[in-house]
Amino acid sequence: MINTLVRGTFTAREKSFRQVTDDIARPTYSNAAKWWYVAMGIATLMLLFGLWAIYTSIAVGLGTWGLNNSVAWGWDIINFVWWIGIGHAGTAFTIFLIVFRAKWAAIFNRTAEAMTVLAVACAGLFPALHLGRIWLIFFILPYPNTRGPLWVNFNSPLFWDVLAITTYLTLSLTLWYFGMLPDLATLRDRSKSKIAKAVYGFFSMGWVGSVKNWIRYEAMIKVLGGLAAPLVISVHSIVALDFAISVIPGWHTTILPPYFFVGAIFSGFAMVMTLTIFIRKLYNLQDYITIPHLESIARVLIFGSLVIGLAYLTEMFVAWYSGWEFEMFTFLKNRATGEYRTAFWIMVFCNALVPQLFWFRKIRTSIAWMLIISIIINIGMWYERFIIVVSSLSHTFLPATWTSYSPTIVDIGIYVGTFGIFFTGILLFLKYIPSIAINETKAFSKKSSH
Amino acid sequence: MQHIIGIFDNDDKVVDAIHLLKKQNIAIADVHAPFGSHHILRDLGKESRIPYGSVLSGAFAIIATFSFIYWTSVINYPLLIGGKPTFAFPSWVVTIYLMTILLTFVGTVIIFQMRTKMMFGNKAPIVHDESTDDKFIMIIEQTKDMTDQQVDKIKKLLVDQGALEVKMQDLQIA
Repeated sequence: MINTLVRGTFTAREKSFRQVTDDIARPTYSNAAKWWYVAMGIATLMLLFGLWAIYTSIAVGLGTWGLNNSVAWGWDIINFVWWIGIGHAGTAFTIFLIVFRAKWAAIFNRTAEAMTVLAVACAGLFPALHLGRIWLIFFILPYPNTRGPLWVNFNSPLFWDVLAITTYLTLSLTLWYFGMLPDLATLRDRSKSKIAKAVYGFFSMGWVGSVKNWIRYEAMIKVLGGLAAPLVISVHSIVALDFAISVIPGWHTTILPPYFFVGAIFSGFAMVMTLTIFIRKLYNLQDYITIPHLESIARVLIFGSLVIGLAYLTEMFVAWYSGWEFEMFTFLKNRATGEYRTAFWIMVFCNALVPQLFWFRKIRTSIAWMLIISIIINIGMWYERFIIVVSSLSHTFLPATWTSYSPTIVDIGIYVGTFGIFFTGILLFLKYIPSIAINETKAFSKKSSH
Repeated sequence: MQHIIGIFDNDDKVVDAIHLLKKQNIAIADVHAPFGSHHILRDLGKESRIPYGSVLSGAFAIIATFSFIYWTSVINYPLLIGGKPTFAFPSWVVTIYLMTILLTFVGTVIIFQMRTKMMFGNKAPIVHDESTDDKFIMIIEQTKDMTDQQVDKIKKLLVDQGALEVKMQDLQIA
């Protein structure tokens, strides 16, 4: 099933079960390499910068951000949407694997899910801080209170968003954790150190791999994967509704939910490609994360890029076709030829044009090109969110309210800080958890005679 | 309770042994495997009823969420928002949908843990410490009516099927 002309072999070379465990679990029991400490040091510095920015935002207030009366959503919402988009890949890979039975996705699943959990946590930080008084964050929960009782507004997309993100974080964290239960048991039984044995033993919940264990586990994972499938589509669609339900030109469009969803998958897959290219090199996993595996991601990226490009064109066309001057101004003038033209054309170049290079087999099988293009895509996707948020808010109906927007050092600090959280988390993940699902690799790489 | 333990390094050999033992009406107590080999599970396992529990969790989630929103928005504090009806069902669909996924998800995980009795910190009743790595462990209970000749016959059968090691071990299997 894996050994096809399109997908290639599951592992580059035939491996015994023991070899698979040894190769993938090696980082968990050997000392970390020098690069790991250097990367951890940089990530910690970024994290500290972020902590300072978060402290300033809370202690001094949101006046330290670059927001103004017109652009009331700035880097916070741009970065929120950007991180949420990246966070879509993990669950998307799970669906590819569990629902569509695309076995090539098994190689990326674990890393993509770890990335999802961290990205969604980073994303959640922005709206929480944007509340201003973060200590009152519990106001968004529907609980019996002393204000009437005044319940939350169940008709508001902002409440839907809170619920969607919370559900998504719970789901991706649980799916990630239960997905690695058999591998934690493997680490428990192989560890020489008493502490590692105790820790992996605690988290592996007494897993032995009995028939009952496996049957119930697979039944549960199938249900959880099935539940995750609609959620992946709905989370970013609901984020899009935060914009689409408003009346701001450039936001008030029905295309936004599907456009956001495809954009999320697109940026998430690009980030998985970037990360796994580093992981395969640094941990010597070239036999597992093979060129055909990465090529499969490249094919998804071509598709994503085409849909994104079509969405850009559709938006322009509908703005022109509607004949509504505010929409026409936003899309055709403000974005394409006006103040935001540089950002707009960077976005088009990075998202709609550059990934088309993957049509060439030489490019989509070249590690260097894949790395460059995947990074370009995530830069482009950041610009897309910048264009959507800032260009629309800074030039709305009344020219008297028109303004420009630029971030402050605190805005930048929080964004850099989320990278600190993300990379610290990823580095810890790579050190203590197998980055590829060991049990699934064994199951899919073996050639069964039955 | 004494058990016959057969240690294999390949799940295909385990499947062949299962077929042979089944033909001779010998019950297999369990097989410990490093990955979910579908051939072993197909031959030994029963279908899990966890998905039925998930459906029930989902039904509960739909009813509970709808009732809660109805109570808060229509009965307890009917807030007028731009003259819109308080019973605004279409916009509740999103919340009901999300809560259904969340509660079904949580319900499924709880049912799984209840059925498997798996909890943080549980001690693993390991039979062979390589069964989570590269060995497949077949466990056959030595019943009271089993003669020594029958035990030897099973042991020989396991060896013939490619078991690396066959031994007797005292085990408590739930």
